[in-house]
Amino acid sequence: MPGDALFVARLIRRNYNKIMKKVTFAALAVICFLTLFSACGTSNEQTSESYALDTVCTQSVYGSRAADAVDAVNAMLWDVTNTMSIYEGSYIYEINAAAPDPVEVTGEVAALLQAALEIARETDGAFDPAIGAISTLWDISGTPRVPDAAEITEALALVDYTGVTVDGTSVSLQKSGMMIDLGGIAKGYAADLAAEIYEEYGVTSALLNLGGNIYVYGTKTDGGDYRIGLRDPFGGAGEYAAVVSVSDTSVVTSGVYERYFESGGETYHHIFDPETGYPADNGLVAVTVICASSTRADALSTAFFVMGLDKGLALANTMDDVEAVFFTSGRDIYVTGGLNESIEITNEAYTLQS
Amino acid sequence: MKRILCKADIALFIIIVVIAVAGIVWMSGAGSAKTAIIRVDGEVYQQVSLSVDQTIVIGDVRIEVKAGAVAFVESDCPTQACVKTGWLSAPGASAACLPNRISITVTGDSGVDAVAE
Repeated sequence: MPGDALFVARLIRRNYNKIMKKVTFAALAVICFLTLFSACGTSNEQTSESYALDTVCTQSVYGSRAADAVDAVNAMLWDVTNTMSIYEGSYIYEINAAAPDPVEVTGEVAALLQAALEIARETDGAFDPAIGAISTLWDISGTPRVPDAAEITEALALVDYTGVTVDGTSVSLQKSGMMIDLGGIAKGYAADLAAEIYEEYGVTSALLNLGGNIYVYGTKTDGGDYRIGLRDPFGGAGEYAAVVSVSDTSVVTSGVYERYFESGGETYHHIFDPETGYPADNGLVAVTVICASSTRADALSTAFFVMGLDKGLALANTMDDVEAVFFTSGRDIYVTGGLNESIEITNEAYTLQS
Repeated sequence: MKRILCKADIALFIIIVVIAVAGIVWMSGAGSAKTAIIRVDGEVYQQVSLSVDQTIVIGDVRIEVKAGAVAFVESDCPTQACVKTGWLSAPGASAACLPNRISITVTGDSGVDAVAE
């Protein structure tokens, strides 16, 4: 063996230049090959983070025009923020300030209000776009406080979606003091507009996350479903209790952990019951809705939460386009028929009930 | 014996591929040590290792890394939503201070593509 090594060493010394040339060539070939290979997977992914809709909006988009699609979606998100929010400068603010006088709005605003009213009727007011008098009274996202009972009663008299009239592009509220608040539907609406933009730009796959409202466009680049975790209602940020595998649809959760405040040892969350004027308190901690229409998923997750487990699950099971997941404070999980076989419970502290 | 590629060439080629692949595997392994990405205005501002305790100050916002977790610990924003989010350690977990346009996202494989919340 030492003889062999000596022979090889002599051979290398004699052919040093020739060998080095070959080494260089081979190395270059390998580098080219690996560069090409790694570029395949990532060249057309575009990611973005923006802060529209009062939350963090992230996109991960694939397609030859993905960069343009991302920009167009970001512009749209700011447009929806500016036109649909409850704050000064938006159409909604104008409608609320002008009540009971009518206000001319754009076709988009009128269409979203019609969609909101339709879901309000479908859920018998459990989702109510005219919740503004109550939501601004509690002011969860601003300076929250627990209102006294008289204030709640007074505000409740101003919460009634049947008092919203949309006639073409003319919108009016029945009484002065009534207020529309689209906080429970605007993100869903924005996700549906994003899907239209992705289609227009020939996007192949996209994952849109609007502050926890998920919309997946198409399938993953490998053709498989997206795996979406459902937040563990008792866990920290990023922790999930179950997983659903989906494509071309939206996954939206209403949970008590999203926005809340504490006062006098009590925790008050942001999902208000339009019947009582208080945060819905019925043993549920979160409801997830899976629906191709993100507008519906957004509003229905609120509605099912307010309705409670029995009524909410029963209504969800009657809807062909909807699947839903209910999380109770006892860590039980209830699902609609279409999810019984497919939902994965990943946290064993939770039990799938049927 | 004037062939373009002889056996030794092929062997050499294979050896270099093996070294390169091993290098890539090693590099991606090194990347799995937990980090967090801090973004300002949507652009990456800094990527911090969660295994090194440290404090990052951006304007009136203070971010701390302690015992493998990261959090907004101080902010001049009115709602303190960022501070209330608390300590982040799960891969994919994120928190944001919207008025200051700063976000923190923990990297790593969370086992899912996103979490609906």
